[in-house]
Amino acid sequence: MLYASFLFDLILSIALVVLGMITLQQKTPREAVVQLMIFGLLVALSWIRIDAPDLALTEAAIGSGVTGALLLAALRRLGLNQRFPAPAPAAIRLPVTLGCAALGFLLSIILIQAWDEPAGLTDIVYQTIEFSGSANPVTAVILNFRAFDTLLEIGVLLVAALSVYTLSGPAGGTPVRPPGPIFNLYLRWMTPIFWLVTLYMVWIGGRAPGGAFQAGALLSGLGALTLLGPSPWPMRLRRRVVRWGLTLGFGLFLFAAAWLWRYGNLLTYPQDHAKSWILIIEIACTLSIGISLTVMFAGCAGWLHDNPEAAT
Amino acid sequence: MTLPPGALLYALAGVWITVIGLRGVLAEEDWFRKIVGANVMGTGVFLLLVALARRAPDGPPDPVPHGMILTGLVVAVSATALMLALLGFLNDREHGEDDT
Repeated sequence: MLYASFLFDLILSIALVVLGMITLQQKTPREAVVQLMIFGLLVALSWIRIDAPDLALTEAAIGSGVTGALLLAALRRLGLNQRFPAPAPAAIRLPVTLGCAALGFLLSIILIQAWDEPAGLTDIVYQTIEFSGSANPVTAVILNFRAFDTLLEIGVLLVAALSVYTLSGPAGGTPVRPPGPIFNLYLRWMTPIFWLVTLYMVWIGGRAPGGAFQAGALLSGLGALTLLGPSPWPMRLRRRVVRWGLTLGFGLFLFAAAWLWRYGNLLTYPQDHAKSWILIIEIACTLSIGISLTVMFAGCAGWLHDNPEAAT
Repeated sequence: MTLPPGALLYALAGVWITVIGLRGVLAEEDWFRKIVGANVMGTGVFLLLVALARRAPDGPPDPVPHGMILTGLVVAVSATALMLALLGFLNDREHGEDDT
């Protein structure tokens, strides 16, 4: 039994390295994207093996799904269907390859030697978790112990979404084929289910795997589906939703930080109400993450701004 | 003979995937391939971190790297979107210059 699980881990870890290599040697951009998505799914499988099932779900949804959708949408907009151009000359490739191999060996040796050294913050997290307002250690870390980092990460997300919004132009090429009746029916049935599961994910994040980041990823899936759907939102409403939705998470988080500063430290919640603070911030962040990723998808697909030629 | 722990195998895989991605970013000419390489590299780093969280063979895994990866995944996808938007901007400008 022990040998069987060791064999599985060995085969999967070798397969991951080989797949990573194959991903970068595909002949066309589309093949490379599909290979990257398969690679992401197998990485998610390996994370189940090392006790991170909630991260595996997020990787499958974001690392494989959303990233793949972004890359495919961008391919369509950029019209990249031909093969990759000829590779760089060997005078560049050879030294880079040798340098990277040396780095890999160095890191591997360090990793094997330092593997058994005791380290990590597991004990400290589990000793203080009862004061954090969340029974789920990952949520406690993200929204309480390291809340300041998460605030900045939501800020990074806002900056990235605004940059995509500003940079992306109207779509070129052929218009998207309108979806058929089956897709429309699917969208109508799935929309409330997506919302229900999203809210459940935020709520359950207080004591089991789940939380704002997983829920936001789910919401962005609904966002991308809605963009593909038959009824584009009215332009004015869309602008309002985008503006408020993008800033809500960061704005509320920043407001919470400023409010709590009056009592002493940035983002140190009052102990009795920590759970409510975390939940409110999480709901705002979920909406913002979902809308930010949707805006990014729309931007990469060229659907954010109307084509001036098509409007006439 | 004692078998190495599974987490160590995945950590080593993470190191080599990171290195392969880094080589892709540095050595490839095509911008789109560089973006794919950056994604492979990021995934390698995340794999390494998840494996490092599982260093102690017993008990729960370390939640701090898990939190970092969870937020990192979202930041990585937004970085990819930004790179693609910049690539689209470059592409549009080149085509605009061709027209005139």
